[in-house]
Amino acid sequence: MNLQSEGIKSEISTAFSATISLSANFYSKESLLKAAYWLSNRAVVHVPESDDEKFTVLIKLKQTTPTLDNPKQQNIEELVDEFCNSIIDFELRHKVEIETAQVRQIILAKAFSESGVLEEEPPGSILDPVEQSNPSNLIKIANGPQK
Amino acid sequence: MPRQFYPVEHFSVAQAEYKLLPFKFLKLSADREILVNEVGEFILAPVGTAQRVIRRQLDRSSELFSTLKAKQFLTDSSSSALLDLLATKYRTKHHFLEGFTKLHIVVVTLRCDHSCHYCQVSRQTADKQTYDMSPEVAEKSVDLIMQSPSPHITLELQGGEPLLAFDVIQHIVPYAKKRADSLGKELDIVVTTNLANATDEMLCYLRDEGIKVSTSLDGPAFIHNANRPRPGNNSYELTIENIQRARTIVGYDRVAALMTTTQLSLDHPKEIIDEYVKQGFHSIFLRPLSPYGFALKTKRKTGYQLDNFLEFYRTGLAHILELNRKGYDLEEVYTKILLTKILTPYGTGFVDLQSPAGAGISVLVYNYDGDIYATDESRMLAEMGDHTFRLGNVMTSSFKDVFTGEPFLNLVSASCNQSLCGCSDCAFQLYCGADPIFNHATQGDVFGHRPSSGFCHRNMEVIKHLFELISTEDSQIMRIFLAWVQTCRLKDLNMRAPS
Repeated sequence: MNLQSEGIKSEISTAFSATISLSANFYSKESLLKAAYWLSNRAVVHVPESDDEKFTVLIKLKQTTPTLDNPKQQNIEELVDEFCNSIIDFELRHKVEIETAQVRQIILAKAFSESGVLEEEPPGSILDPVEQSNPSNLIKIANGPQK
Repeated sequence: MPRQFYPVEHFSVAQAEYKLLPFKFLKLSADREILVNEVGEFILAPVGTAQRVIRRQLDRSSELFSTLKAKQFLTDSSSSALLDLLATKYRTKHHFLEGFTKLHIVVVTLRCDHSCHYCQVSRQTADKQTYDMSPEVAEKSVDLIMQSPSPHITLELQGGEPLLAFDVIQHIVPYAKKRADSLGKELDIVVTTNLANATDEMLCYLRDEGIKVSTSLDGPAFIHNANRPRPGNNSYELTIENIQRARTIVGYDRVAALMTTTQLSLDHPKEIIDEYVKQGFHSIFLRPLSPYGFALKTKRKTGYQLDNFLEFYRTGLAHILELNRKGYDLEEVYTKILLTKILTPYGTGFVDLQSPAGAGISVLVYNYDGDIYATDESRMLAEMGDHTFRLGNVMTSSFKDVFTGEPFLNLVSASCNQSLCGCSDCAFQLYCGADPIFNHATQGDVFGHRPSSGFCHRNMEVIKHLFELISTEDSQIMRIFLAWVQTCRLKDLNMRAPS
C-alpha cells in the first residue's frame, strides 16, 4: 500500500515494516528525529540515507506477536499514520521555535534579570523588539536607559 | 518641536503582519487541540488551529485572532508584545524557586510498629541505638537546614514511626526553633505519624509547640487494615480513635490524612472517599503508589497497571465532584495542584511535579544516620543499595559540598523538563514537571524515556482529563474547580465561572 501527502511518501513493506520517504524541502532532520522518538517504545526507526532532497526512514515493529504485557498487536499502518501526522506537527513546532527563539530568550532574561543569576548579558535587546523593529520616521517611544 | 503621530494606515488590520510569540500545541482529541503559551495561558480550539496560526492563515477579524492577541500568542503592529508582562507572568509561575530549599524532611528513626508491604524503609525492632537519630546528628541536620536561604522553612519529622523516638523529637524541636529565631526565619513543623503510639502527653506537646500532624488513612477498615498490618490487625480502629483524640488535643484543622493507593484500593475509590467524608476531612489525595523499594520488589502484591490507576483517579474525581455538588466541600489535592497551574497565574510548591524538579532544589531529606538525600524516594533507593542520590552526610558535608557535589549535579542535569527529550515540545510542560529520580528508578537513567514513562503517561492522561472537565458545558464543575484553586468553600465562591 502506498500513501502520499505533502512531501511524504510511504510504503508498507511487510506486516511489520514500512519505508517512508520525506522531502527535505518540507521537513527538517529535527522534526524527523522527534517524531521517530515517540515511536521508539513500539518500533525501531532507521534513517539509512539522507541527502539534500530527501530522507528515507525505515520503521520496523518491535513486537510481532501479542504478549501478555501487550495483548494488542500494533498495526504498522496505524504507526505510519501516526508518524506522518506527528512529523507535520513537529515541523510546525520547529517553525514556532525558530521564529520565537529570540523573543523567548528575552522573556526569560527579563524574568530572571532581578535574581542576579545571569552570568553574561543575554543576546539581543532587552527592550521590546517589536516597537524597535517597527521602522517609521515618526516619533517613537523613547528607549529606557541602556544597561 | 511639534509631535507627530502614526498615520491611520499604521493601524490598518489588513496590512498588519503578525509575529508569533512562543507557544506550544497538542492534539487533545479527534477534533480538538490545545495551544499553551510560554506562561501557561491556554486556548482550546478545533484541530488545525495551530497550523493556521503558524501559516498565517487566520482571519484577522475573527474572535480567535483577537483572543490569540489578548492572550499573548501573537502580536501585530497594532499591539505591543508586552514582553515585560510576559516576563512578569513567567516569574510569577516560577515563584516557587525563590528561597531555594524550603521543605526539610528529618527521619528521626527507622523503627516502626507496622509492617506495610509497600513500605521501603521501616524496621520492626526495639534497637534504639542503631535506628534512632542521635542528638549530634539531629543538631548538625538543623544547622545545615538553617543555611538554606529560604526565610520560611518547613521541617517534617518522619520515620519509620517518629513517635517511637519521641525523645529525638523533643531534642530537635527546641533546637530548630532556637536556630530559626536567631536567624529570623519562620519555621513550620509537621510530624508524619500513624498515631498508633500517640499518648495524650505527646499530643499535648505537639499542641504546645504548634506542630501539625499528618497521618495515614487508606480508606475503610478492610482496606486500611489490609494495607497496614500490625500486631492485632487493628490499625484502622487505632487510627480513627487517634485521629479524633489528636483533633481534640492538637486542634481539628491541624490533623491531616494521606492515603496510599494499592491494588486493593483500585476497586474501591468511592468507599475510600466516603471514608474521608465520614471522618470529616475536606481534602483527599488520590496518590499513586511510588515505584520504589519494597514496593518494587513486592510488585505482585501491590503493583498494578497504570491504566487501572487512571481509571481509579477518574472515577474518584467524578465522585468527589458529585459530593461537592451535593454540598460537601472536598478537594482532591493532585487535581488542585494541576488546576492552580492551569487556571491561575501561579505555580505550586508541590515538589513532585515541578520543573526544575523539586529534588534537592525544593526538598532535602536527612536520614537517621545523617546521610542527606535529594528526596524521600532517594532514601528508599539507598535502602535497596542504590546510593546514587546520596548527596552527603551532615557530619562531614558542608552546604556547598551538598549542592556542588557530583550526585546533585547529576540530578539537576535532568531536572528541567524544558530541556528533556519529549518534554521540550510538550504543551503541558508548564503544568507538569521532571522527576529524574523516578526515571532513574524505573528506567535506569535520570533523563528517562518519555514514550515508555509511567510519569509521562500518568500526567498526560490526568491533564487531558482535566481539560475535558474544564471545557464541559456543566458550569458547576468549573465553579468547584475555582473554589479549589481559591481555597474557599463553594458557597463562598464570589466569581462567575467563565462561559
